[in-house]
Amino acid sequence: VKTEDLIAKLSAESVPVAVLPPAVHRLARWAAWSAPAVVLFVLAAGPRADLMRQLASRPFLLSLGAIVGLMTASAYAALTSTVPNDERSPTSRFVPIVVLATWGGVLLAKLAGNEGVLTGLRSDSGHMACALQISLMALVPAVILLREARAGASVEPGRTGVLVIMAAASAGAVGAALICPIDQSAHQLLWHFLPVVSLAACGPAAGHRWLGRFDRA
Amino acid sequence: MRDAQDGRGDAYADLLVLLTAVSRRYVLSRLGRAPWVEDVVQETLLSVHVARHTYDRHRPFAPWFYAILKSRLIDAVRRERRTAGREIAGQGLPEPSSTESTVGDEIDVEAIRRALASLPERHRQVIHGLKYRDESVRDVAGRLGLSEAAVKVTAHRGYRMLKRLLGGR
Repeated sequence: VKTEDLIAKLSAESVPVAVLPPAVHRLARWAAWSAPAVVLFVLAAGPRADLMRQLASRPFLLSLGAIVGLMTASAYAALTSTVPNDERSPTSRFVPIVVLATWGGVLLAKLAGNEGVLTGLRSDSGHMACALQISLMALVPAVILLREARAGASVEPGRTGVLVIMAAASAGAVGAALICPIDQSAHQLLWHFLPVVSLAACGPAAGHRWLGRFDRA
Repeated sequence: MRDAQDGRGDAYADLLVLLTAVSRRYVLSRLGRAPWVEDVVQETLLSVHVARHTYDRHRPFAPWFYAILKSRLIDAVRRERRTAGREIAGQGLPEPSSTESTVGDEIDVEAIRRALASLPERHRQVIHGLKYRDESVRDVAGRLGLSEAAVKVTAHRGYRMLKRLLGGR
């Protein structure tokens, strides 16, 4: 195809386009659709018995705040990464990593302070149910956020995919925190933190599969 | 770009002509006269087209455009490196066997043709497109209704079969 012909073809196809709303609006829309899905799952699975007491406890609130922070930062970064040039902003690039590292770091530090990392991890009896719940609760938020991300145009689909899945998995982890009564750091690290990281590791594949808008151009 | 977002084709055409010149200059300054400069320019125009709704009309246009241009350039360079690496490492058609009829260092075209004819149809179609019709991976993928990755994998397997059929070299 000659470039001149391509220009003629593209300009002939020119129709008014709906401009993409700002990332904050899309984030709010995602939260509005995802939160009810997670809440319904928590109610169906049964919230932890001491939830009301925990909601007044500072360590629990801090931990929950870290996960909510990770969810929000990842989702916002995922959405900004679908606008060319915005994906380079430091907020989009580094905040999710810092929050993720803080959450994992605090859990490791608590584990090291209590019983030692290896001893603590070895003493964990295995709770696959939490990882499964996180994955299931992440499904609806992941689908909605992927849809929101697809509306944009990611220049780095792999990174956007990681951020989308991390945000969705964090939404699942928020739900799991409201269900799971086990507060030990080893459990939190192995069955709440690691599933979020593991799911996020699938992000590049998801991103290239569903967000490669330019590849489809 | 604001006019283009509003659907004004003439303004959009003017913009694309301007972006073509800017892209070509930018790519030439970084790649020199590579044979695929025009591919990058056209991919950039297509990317601008599919992403034009993401441009925020209250912000400067240049950073938005250059982010797209750079990403298309990087993708193209990566793609070319992969292709070049594969072609040098193993995608060249194998040399003819010494037991087959050859004249000096010439390739035994007839042997290759026979070997190609004995390949499964899909492999034959892919190799024929890439090597005989000189089509790009994208063109072959579009014509046969396959993904680009599937075309590359099929071609790679086809080359290996050919290599075995032509004496294992």
